[in-house]
Amino acid sequence: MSKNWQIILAGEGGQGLILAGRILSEAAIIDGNSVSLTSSYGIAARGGYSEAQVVISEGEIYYPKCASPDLLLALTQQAYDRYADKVTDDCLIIYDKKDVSNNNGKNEVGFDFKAALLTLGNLKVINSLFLGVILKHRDIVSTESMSESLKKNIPPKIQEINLKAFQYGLEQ
Amino acid sequence: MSRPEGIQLMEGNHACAWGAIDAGARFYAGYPITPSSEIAEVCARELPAYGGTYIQMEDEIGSMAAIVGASLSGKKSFTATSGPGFSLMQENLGVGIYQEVPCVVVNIQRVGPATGLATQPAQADVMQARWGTHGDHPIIVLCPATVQEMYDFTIRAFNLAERFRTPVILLSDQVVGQTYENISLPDPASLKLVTRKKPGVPPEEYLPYQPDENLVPPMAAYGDRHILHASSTCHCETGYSNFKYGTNRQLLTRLKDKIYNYLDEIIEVEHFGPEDADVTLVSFGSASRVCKYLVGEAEKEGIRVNLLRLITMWPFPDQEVQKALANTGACVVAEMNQGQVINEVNRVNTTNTPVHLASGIDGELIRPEIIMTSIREAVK
Amino acid sequence: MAVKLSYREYFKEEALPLMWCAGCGNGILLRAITDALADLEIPPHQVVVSTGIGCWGKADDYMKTHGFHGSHGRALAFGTGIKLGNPDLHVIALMGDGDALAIGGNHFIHAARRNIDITAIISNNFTYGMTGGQYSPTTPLSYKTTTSPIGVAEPAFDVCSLSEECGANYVARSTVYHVTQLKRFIAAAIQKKGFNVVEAINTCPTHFGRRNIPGDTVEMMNYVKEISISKSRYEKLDEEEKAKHLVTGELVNRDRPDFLSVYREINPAASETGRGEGK
Repeated sequence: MSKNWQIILAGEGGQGLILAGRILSEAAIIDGNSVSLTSSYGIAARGGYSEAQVVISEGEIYYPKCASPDLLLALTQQAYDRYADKVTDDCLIIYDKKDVSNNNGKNEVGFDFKAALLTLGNLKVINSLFLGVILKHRDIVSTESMSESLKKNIPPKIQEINLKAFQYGLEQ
Repeated sequence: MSRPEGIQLMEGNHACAWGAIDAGARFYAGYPITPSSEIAEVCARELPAYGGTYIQMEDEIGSMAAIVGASLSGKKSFTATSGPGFSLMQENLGVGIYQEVPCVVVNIQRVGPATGLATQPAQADVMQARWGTHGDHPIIVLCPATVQEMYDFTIRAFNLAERFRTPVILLSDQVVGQTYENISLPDPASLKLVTRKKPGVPPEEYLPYQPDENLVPPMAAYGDRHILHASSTCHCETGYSNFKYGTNRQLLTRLKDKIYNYLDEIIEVEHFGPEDADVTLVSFGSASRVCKYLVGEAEKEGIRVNLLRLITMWPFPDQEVQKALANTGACVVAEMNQGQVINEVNRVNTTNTPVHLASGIDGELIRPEIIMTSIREAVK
Repeated sequence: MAVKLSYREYFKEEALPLMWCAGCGNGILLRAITDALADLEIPPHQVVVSTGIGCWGKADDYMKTHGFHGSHGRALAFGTGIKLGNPDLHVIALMGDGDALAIGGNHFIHAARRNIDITAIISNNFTYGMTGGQYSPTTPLSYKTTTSPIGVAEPAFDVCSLSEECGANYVARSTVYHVTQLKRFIAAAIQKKGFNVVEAINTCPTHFGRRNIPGDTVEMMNYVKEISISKSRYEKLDEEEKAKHLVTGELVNRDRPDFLSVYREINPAASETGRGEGK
């Protein structure tokens, strides 16, 4: 597995994208890699476009952004449109089937996050869910490191349901 | 929360706050402003456990004043802000420089002027950091580019402030301040910390502005038996106001010389990439990271590129830039403004090396293609 | 028996003569402060005077305590840092009416709200003296100054009401005519914890007096005496007469906890280590 990764997690405020970026980044550090996590956000505390960019490398990271993403998670049409025509064919796009309808990428997978969350019985665990989905498709970090990072970053009260969501995503 | 240890993921602003705490800062006064507020939040949470104090002032004018005051009372002190707040701090930054008060001002640059883009990066306060407060004055400004450097350079900023008895500015930007990276925090006991020199004479002989052999006056603290009189008016060695002909020249000359006579202790640059190059990039802060990335990218196009990164922005590294210009075919200055550092580069360009500007003013980290376009132009 | 301290322990006699105009009451106010410090027997090295800019802002030049002379309106903001940097200090902020209420008004109301342990002594001469006699936020409505040649169109701030409303622990007003009262109020303010304000109505025969008070410097002093009135007498006056007078006396004396006491209570770790280095 390659240790150099550029991942964009894009959607809207409130979907836990930046926290997910941190969880992924910490897992990469546990694996012994360097990481750089940048986010862009608007001035509103809730809603609006939001994204996290994670760069993982064996060595020093110069450019902290994703110059050539290997994976794009697009949870909204706006997020999809922002990047879908700019990424290379090597970049895997994971998009939300319910929110993204106007899509025509070559290398992409749709996932019904809403349905999965309803099955799980909790709408607030979308970030743990998509981290599972991402890991199912790409070996970015080890599942052990990811579980460890999830446990570190999520309060004990809601850890169980988040780990369950992560596992669910991993198995779909 | 206890002090984080070992290798971990940390935000640049958090790393800055921990650097300050590890450097011995025990007083923070500030006014919240995006994208610097995390520094205030860490200080509010952590300083009490270190016997320190956090205070949220009514504005940035008061914040700058309060850190000057606390430093005169003997505490290492600092504040953090961004664009509009940095503008408000200029007034009392001048008081700090003139009264020779060690303290650190962190500016996490965002897009301006005015409110600009509050959450987005720029590097357009370079000249404000140099000349923002009125009057003739020297200033020391450091530019970190990574989360690790937010920690390391904050400590260095305090050390320089204490060594030279002057405010030091940590000129960062939104990208560096709010990026999360892996960082390794050293054992605080292993750090080399500098503390201001105390008076070596009995109280009755103490003159608070009588310089030592290195032009820096030893510093008493309020509450000491050595009486400290700090004035924002032209003053002589007693610290009291003095309007005699010659006093102003003597004071301004010493303030300049105490720093410019010791540039070797202050100036720091980084050379990156091959020694011989077709194009030398000059950059700093977050933009310099894009330049590092492009050293490799340009090579794929057959262009040999290296980078001179300015770690100390002020005093400007005249000699280092001059030397780099003399040893290259062309120069591209990459900065997230419409051209500030480029004027300084041209000022020392005695070899008439062609100098191009790569200007990032889109409210984001300067895109590689902007700099790459300038590189291609430079080798045409 | 300990020898009683003299104001000379605090007053820098070699700096005489004072730079202020003949007939200005700043010298009287300075003597009242140094006398109060002597009466309280506070060692000079435990006192910091923080001054602003303007005529009264030059007061630190005549003090042998620790001194700070900063920027216009910021004496309280610098003083806040000085106090929090070393809570054992007595911090005395010396401000004019412009310093405290115009350019420094924001610092003033927040220092009072916070109840930071600083004594604020405001020399109120109703005008900007050093810049040539322009109107200030305490110039009475319709009075003449160089920037209100026909009469000022703005109503004046009442320093003491403002201080009370914002939360100061101790508020008193006296004048440079009522010297012993002035000294007594200053001593009380220095001794009391919290944000304490003494407003000293001052004379400015050069600018304010010349344009508004018929007669010489003695008349200016008489004017200050005549506008001063106790609270009980003031309350019996009709509205027209009230507008011509200022209440003197101790107007507020309460015990709200000061900023640092509350801060230490909320952050117990801060009080354990006090001003020393923590862990």
